[in-house]
Amino acid sequence: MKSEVDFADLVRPSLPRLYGMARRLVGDEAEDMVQETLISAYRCVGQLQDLQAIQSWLTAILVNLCRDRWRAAKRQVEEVSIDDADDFSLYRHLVQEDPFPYSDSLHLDFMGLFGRDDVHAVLVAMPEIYRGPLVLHYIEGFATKEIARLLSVPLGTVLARLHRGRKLFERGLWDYAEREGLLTTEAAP
Amino acid sequence: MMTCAEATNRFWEYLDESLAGPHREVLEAHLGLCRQCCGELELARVLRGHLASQPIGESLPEDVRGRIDLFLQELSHE
Repeated sequence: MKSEVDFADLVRPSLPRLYGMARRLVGDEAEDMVQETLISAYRCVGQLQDLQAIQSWLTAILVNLCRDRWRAAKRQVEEVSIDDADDFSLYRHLVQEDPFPYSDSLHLDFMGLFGRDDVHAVLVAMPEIYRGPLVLHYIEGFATKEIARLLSVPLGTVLARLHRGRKLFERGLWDYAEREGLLTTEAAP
Repeated sequence: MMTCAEATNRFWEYLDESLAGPHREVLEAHLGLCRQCCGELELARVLRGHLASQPIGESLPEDVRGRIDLFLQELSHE
């Protein structure tokens, strides 16, 4: 089974999804993370009993590697000031700033400014320990209990990080729209 | 009686259908009375939809595919 040709053939169909997931989890270092995943997988591919499970197996390895990376970076992340994130409401901000004075669907008009690349840019700008659960739950579709298992943290920690992550995502969208001039170019009367 | 702040903090759990029964009922009662929170909930629904619409099986860029293929070949000669 541990024929190298077989290994390459086995993992190749999973690469697009693995790379996409790595991009959302670690941004520009996605390719390195995929290569690390492949090294780990290659070393223990003999233990894989169900070849149909290759995608979820590779995904678990990738998340484990990301988890180790986030743990190493945790001290640095905790120094980031996000005290006011919990109080931020994108909806209230939109109502107060009123970038679309003639709109009766503020939230749709605002989010209409964001393409997939914009949403990706907002996500990768977030601290990794908050981005990870957000990506795994809302984009990759993992249940919160599964995320807790993959990241080896209590379920309560995942839920707390999801809550904080959602707030930071809302804040990130507004900051991105301002910084990139989306509001001034698109919302002008 | 639930406050608006308490309600908004639970919207995503509500949309995830992971909010426990009693909390869900209190939240729905609040939504029935608060127009602003209905707007906040709609925004949360749209944000959630934008995240869910991110492509999960995007195509691999050609340059990345080439480098990873090379890497797999090198791995095989380890």
